Amino acid sequence: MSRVFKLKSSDNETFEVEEAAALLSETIKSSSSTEITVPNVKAEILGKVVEWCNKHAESEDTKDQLIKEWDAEFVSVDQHVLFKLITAADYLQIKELVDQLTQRVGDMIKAKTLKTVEMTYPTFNVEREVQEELKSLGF
Amino acid sequence: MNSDSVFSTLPDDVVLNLFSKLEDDPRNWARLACACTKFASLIRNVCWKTKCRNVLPSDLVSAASSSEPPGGWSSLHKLAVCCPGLLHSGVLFENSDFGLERELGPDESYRPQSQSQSEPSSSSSSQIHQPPPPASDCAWSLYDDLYFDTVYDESESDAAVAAPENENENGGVSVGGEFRIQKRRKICRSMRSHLASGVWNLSREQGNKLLHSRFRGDCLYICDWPGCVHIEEKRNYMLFRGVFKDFKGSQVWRNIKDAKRTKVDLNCAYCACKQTWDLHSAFCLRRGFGYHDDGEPVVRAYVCDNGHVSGAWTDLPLYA
Repeated sequence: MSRVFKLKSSDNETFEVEEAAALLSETIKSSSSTEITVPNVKAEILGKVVEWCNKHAESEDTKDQLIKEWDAEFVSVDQHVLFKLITAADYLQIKELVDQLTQRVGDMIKAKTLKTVEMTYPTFNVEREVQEELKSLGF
Repeated sequence: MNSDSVFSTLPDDVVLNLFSKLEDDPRNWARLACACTKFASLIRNVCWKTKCRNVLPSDLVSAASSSEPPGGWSSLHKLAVCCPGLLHSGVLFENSDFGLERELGPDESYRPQSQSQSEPSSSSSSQIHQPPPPASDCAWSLYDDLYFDTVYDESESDAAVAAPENENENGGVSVGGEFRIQKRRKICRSMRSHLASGVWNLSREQGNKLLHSRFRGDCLYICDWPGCVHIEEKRNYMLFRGVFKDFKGSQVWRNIKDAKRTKVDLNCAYCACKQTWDLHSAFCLRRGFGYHDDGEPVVRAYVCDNGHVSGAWTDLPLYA
């Protein structure tokens, strides 16, 4: 008989999560209670994290192509949502989700054609350009 | 990037996680380190340091010492992955006088008529020069006939000395005003430091092959042979880079100091040092390498105060 966990968002919405999905979070795993409040994370975001956990709990094989496609869809969100998801996943210590999200950010940074930097030392002449580029990505 | 950007909300370990996803291309970290001080600090103090410790020989980067290597972790990391380019390895230096002008100073008996004079023969101090005939730019020697035959375009020689200023306008780099560049070449990006081809590692064996046997005790780590190969008109250059472990404690350093060598205006590709020592002229390199007919040394190497070495091998001349 699996336990049911209750996750509460910062705006007081509660999500019920099955044990298998919930235990993907190290924070929940090491928590003594089945009711966990996630500070600074709103329902919209927490809901998505729960959705991810549910998906990953039900699929045995994470190398499955379908799951990969689902994951790719999942992380294709705008930068603001992306960062909020990272914060939530980090708080809940869901390693694989954090990895997927940071990989996505990394890809976005790489994809943007950045001006070649000479790797100058000690000052970086292209500082402003790099900042502009990263800003234009929405960061 | 201002302080209330999204990145500032992320804890350091998450940011480092992100950086680890961008490890494959060293330029990613270099760019990110430009973005803001937080990134710069993380990349310098964690990413580059860890990378150096993982990739470079352990006796070069001793885990025991927590202090930075001379020039910082950024320099050491750059050294591991970046070729110094033709510029910083000294290939673009004027050498067809066998380096005599640098050693002995300009030839006093000869004064260039105008800015446009640049022929290398003007610095063969052993010859007696007549005042140059007004029609031509300069006295010719046998070397000129051999050298300029296929390489030189007359019109280019006028521009060569003026080149240092022009290079700036072309968006290139300003080489020290004293030096003449052999022919007018735009110092484009590819001649400056760039990511090296080949394996990014350093070994002491290569270092031993370069130095004179009396410096056997010094620990010089050089990148794998053949380094980053540059195919140029006249010959191929195998550019290498390396670093001394504890340069100031080395015999090479003592040798340079005792001989009161002067530095050359060639800045280090890896740190802020604006001048370096010519190891070839200081007789620190293995004997027997010699020169090509046009005055170019078969191997050359330059070392800075922090012990960073940049240089170039060429193929040995086919004939003695």
